[in-house]
Amino acid sequence: MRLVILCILLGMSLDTYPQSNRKSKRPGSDPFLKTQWWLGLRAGTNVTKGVPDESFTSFSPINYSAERNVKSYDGFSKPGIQAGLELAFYTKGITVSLQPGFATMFYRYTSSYNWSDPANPSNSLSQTFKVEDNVQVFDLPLLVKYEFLQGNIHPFIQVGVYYNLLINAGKKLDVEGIDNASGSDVPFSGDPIEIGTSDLYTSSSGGVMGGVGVVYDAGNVRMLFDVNYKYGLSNITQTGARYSNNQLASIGDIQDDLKLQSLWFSLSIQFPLKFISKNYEAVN
Amino acid sequence: MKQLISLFLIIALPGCNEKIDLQPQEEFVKIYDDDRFNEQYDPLDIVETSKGFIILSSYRRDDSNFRGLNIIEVNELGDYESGSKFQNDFVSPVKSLMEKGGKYYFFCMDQFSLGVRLIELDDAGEVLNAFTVNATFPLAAASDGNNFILQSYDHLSKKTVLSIVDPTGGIVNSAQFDIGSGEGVEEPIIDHFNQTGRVLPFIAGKASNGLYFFNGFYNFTLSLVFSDLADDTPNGVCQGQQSEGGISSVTATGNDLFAISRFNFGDNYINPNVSISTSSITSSLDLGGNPFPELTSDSRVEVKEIQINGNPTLIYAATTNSSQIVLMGYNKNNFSLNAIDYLGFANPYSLAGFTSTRDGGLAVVGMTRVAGRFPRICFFKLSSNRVTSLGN
Repeated sequence: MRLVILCILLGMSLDTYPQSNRKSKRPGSDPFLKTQWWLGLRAGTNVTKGVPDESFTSFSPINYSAERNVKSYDGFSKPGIQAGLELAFYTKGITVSLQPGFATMFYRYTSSYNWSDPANPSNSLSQTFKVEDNVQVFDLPLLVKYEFLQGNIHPFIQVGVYYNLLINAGKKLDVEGIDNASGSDVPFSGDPIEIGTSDLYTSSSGGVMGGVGVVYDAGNVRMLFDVNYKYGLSNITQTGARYSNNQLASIGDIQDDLKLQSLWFSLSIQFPLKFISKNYEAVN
Repeated sequence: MKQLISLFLIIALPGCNEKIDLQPQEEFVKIYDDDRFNEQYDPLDIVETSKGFIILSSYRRDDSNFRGLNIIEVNELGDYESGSKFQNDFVSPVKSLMEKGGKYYFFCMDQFSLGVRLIELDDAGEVLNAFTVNATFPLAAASDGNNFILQSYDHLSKKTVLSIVDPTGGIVNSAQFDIGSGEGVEEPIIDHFNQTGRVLPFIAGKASNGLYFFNGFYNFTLSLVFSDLADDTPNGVCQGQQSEGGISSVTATGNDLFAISRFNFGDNYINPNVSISTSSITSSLDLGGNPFPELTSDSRVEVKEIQINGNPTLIYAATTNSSQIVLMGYNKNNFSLNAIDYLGFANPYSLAGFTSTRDGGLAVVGMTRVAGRFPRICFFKLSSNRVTSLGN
C-alpha cells in the first residue's frame, strides 16, 4: 500500500514539473543559476526531557493519596548523540532541508514510596526508584531555513517537522532507600535492573521543531552550527502494552503517557552538488 | 523538491501506529499499598462485579488470635475505590467469594461464639446481611446451584461437617465425619485458624456424579471424602498422609475423573486427568502426577476449568520457589501442557486465587511483599490475548 501511494505521489510530482524549467534562459537571469543542492554530514548531541500527560504506576494506595507516587521527571540531564546526513535545496535565501539520521535520547525520572509506623513514626522505610530511559530512533526532520544577510558568515532561523521511527529502547532502574526501622538511618540500594523496553513504545512518533544557527561559507564547502528545540506532539507510549513488562510492572514502574521535548546541538559540513568550477561560486 | 516532500509524507503516513491494541481495562497490574508499617494483608479470592472487582482478604489483628476480615472494591481499571476493614467480631474469612443473583457471598466466623456467618455483599462490596449459620469453624466453601457447600469443623464433637447452606444461612442438609480421637488430632485445624501453623488446603465441592466432597480431616488424615450426605458414613475416601500429604487442589472433570494437585512431605505433583474412586478407600499416593519441584512446599494451588477461545482448558495456579505466581494451561481434551506464564518479579509474589473474566481474560489475585517486606494485595488482570496462549 505504501508503495502504491509512493508511486502516485511521485507521479504527480513529475507530472507537475514545468517543462519550461528545461528551456534555456537569458544569460544572467537563469533561475537555475540561483539554486543549489547541498549534501552534508551532521553530528551532535542532544538533551531530552519526558513530559507526562498522565502518570501511571502499579501502586494503588488504600490509605494515602496517589499523588505521592507520581513520578518526578528530571529534565535535560543526560546528553545523547545524533548523526546523519543532510540534503538541502537552496534558493533565494530559503533552504529546504531533509536531515535523516540516527539518534539516542535519554530521559530520567524518579518515584518514591514511604512506609512508617503511626505509633512510632521514626520507624520508617523510604524507597526511591531512579530510572533512566534511553530511546534510539531513526530521525527524519524536514526543515525550512531562512538565511539572513550575505557574506561568509551569516545566521539563519529554521522551522519544521520531524518524524521518528523507533529502533530500540531500554531502561535502567536503580532502587535506593533509607531504612529507619532498625533505629538509625541506614541507606540501602538494590542491584540495578537493565531491561529492553522497545515494546513499551510506539513504533513511530513525531512533532515540530525550530531553531537558530549560523553558516560559514568556506569556498565551495559550508559549515553549519545549529540549535533546535524539538517538541513532541504524539504520545510515545504504547498504551496497550503499558503493563506488559512483568519485571517492571511487578515493582510498580509503569510507563506514563509521555511526549518528549529535546534540545539538539549539531555541526554539519555540506558540499554543493552543482556548479563546482572555477567560474562559479556554489551559489552565485 | 516535491519528490522530497512526497517521500517524507510516505514515510510519515503510517503515523504513530500501535503494535498492540488493548483497552486499559484489559490488562493491568495493581498493588494495593498501605503506608502503615505494621499492616499485613493476606488476600483470599476475587470476583468480577458489574462495576469492577471485589477482593476478599484477611489481615493481621492485634486484638485477636484470628485473622481479621478485609474487603476492597476496585474499579474496572483495577484502581482502589473503597474498602472495609472489619474491626468487629467477624474473623477468619473462608477463601471462596461466590456470586448468586447479583449478590456476593462468603463465609467467616464470629471470634467469640466461633459460629459461622454467611456475609452477603452488594456489587460495591458493601455488607447487606450477615446470616448466622448453625456451624462452627468454617474451613472451605463452594457454590452449588442456588446453595452453597460448606465444610466446617465442630470442635465439641471433633467432627468435620459438610453442609448444604441456602443463601440466608439455613442448613439444607449436612453430614458429620470423625476426625479421630486424641489430643493432637485437631491441632492442625486450630493452627490453620490461628495461622500459627501451616495453612492447609481445605476444599469443598461436588463431583460429576452428584456426590459432594470435601478435602479435610477424616479419620486422623487430611483426606478427600465423598458423601451423598444421606448419613455420616463416607461413600469414598482418598486418604492423605496425616497433615503431611494429600490433595492440594481438585476439580471434577467427568465421572470419577478429576484434575488434581497433591503434596507429599513438601513435594508437589500435578495430574490433570486422574480417576478417583468415589465409592471406596484409596490413597493420594496412588494418584501419581508429574512432580513440580518449582512449587513451594506449602504453595496454595488452585485448578479451574475455563473456556479459552472455545477450548476447554484446565488452569493451574500456584506459587513458585522463585516467589512468582505461575499459571499452567492444560488442554482438557488430551491433557497436554499448553503453556506456562509467570507473574511477579523482584519482590516476592504468592497466589491467592484467580477467576476468568467477562472479556475472556483472567483476574489473578495474590500477595506481594512490597520493598521485600510488607505483605500487600496484588491483582494481575490478564487480557484475553495473553490468556489465549494458555488455551492453545
